[in-house]
Amino acid sequence: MPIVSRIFGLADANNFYASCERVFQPELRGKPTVVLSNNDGCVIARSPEAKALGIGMGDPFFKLRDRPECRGVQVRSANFTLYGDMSRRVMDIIAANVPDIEIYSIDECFIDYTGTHQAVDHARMLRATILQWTGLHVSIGLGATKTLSKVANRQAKTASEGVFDMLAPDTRESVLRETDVSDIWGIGRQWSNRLKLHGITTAYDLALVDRQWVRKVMGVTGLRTVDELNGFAAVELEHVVPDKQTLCVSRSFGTTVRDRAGLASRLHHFAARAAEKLRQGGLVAGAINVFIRGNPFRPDLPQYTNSITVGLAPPTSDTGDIVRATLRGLDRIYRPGIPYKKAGVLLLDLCNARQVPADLFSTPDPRRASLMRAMDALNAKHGAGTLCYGEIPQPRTWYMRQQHRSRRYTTHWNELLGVKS
Amino acid sequence: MFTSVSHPRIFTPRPGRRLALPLVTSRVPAGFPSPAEDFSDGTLDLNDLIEHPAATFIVRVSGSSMTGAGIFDGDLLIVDRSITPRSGQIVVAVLAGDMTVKRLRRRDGRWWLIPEVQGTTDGGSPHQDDGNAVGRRGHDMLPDGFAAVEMGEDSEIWGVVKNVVRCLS
Repeated sequence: MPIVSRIFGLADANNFYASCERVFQPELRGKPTVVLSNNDGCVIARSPEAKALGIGMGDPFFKLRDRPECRGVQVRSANFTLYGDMSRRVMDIIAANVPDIEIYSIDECFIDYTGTHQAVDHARMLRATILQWTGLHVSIGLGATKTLSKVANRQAKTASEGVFDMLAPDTRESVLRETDVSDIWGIGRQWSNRLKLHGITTAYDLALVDRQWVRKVMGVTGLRTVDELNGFAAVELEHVVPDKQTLCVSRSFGTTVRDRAGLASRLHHFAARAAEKLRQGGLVAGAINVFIRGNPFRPDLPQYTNSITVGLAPPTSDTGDIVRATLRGLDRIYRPGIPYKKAGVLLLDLCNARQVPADLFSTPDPRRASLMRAMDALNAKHGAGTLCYGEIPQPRTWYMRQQHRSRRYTTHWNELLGVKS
Repeated sequence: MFTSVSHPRIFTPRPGRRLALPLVTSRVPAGFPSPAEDFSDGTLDLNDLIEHPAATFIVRVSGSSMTGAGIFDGDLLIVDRSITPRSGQIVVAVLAGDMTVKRLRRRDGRWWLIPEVQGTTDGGSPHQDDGNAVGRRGHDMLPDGFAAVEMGEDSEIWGVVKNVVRCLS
């Protein structure tokens, strides 16, 4: 069998969230721009100008407001509806033009270019097409393995035409020599600290390490990484989305909540939303974890964090069961006098609804399932929250703080981009 | 391989889209089957007009500097960014940080964004293939948005307008 040399690409949109904002708001171009997390908590994306000001990922927004040099910074609340739609466009363009892709995150995908002649030229054309069609800049790194394409992508960010070809062995060696071991895909901070104790500081050092030793110390995953650094493809594109193991619905509150009723109302809503997501995925949960938390950024206030796991037997996706378990959990952990800043529910032990063994002690009421179906259908047709389970006593003014959200230009008729004539 | 990049054909599944399906069930136990049944070709879908969904954006017009081109206040424009802009096309452009819709013209080796008001030719702005003519009207004589503007450093084409959608009743 002839040995086919593999070619992998990693395409990654530069400063994706901030760039999406700029496509529709040209007034932001050239100005430092940051995007904030849900509830305007902290910085989750920065334009190059914002990076140059020293604004870090995860910096809390309120700290930014106190820095004089950040006064001119343009702020946007996360607009995931817009980012999701722009991501879909980019991925569609790539998928239509390459042999195979794996969508890795909202702004990254792996490409299998194996068998493509002049993959570099193709990548340059692809990049130009994405820029023209969507207004977004994408960088593409090419390497003999997925891990190497990730390394190449870091170079592509600064390379001319946004494409970096690391297929040639001598290019590979010189780049790996300059790449810190902590910047390798799959090597976390803990591993890189341990490796550095053994004198392994660059990706090149790691590539030369004895395979037996790696296997013993880092296991099969580490061995794969080393093989990949040496140009042997050990990880293929993944297409199957792994089964969801947990499902979380949580929020930081715009303003703190002290009373039990206020927390209960919010948790009730999160539980109902989580149950809805479960049913969408055809899943049931065997347990639910309820958590509440004070405000860690305000050490001057009383702090309290607690969580509790409540079993759901038999496993269920019924909103009624899940809400009841949530409120029971809250009663066990609620403590008065705390300004709560965040709460949420985490559904655990998820499995396919059809694989649940029959319960000896209870027979499910078939009317419950039709009730849930009817509720989901109504909410899908007339908007979320049209039909709620039980009582959600307070108006949902607390739901999410998004003071600086731009319009959802591509998905909502009443939020279209305006052009002057 | 390269032609597939410059002119990709993209087929995207649109799970959210509602599609009208012809219902062809001939329950004619006695009598003749419908003669039209064999000719059922489905229904027309306006989405078919959008050739490049990944590159297509819908924007809303405000203002009346393009009435001569049949574009009115409140109209929706279907903008296809995959089309390479050429002289004579109607484009959405970024002009000093603003989004505007104008006719793109190349005159004397320079690119112009030209309004087109109803009742005038090419918006009452100089439009002959004559570089001098463009300079004759100063921008200050015309209200904002109604003067031809030469494209420069602070301007770029955002996309080419492909269709206009207007509600008539």
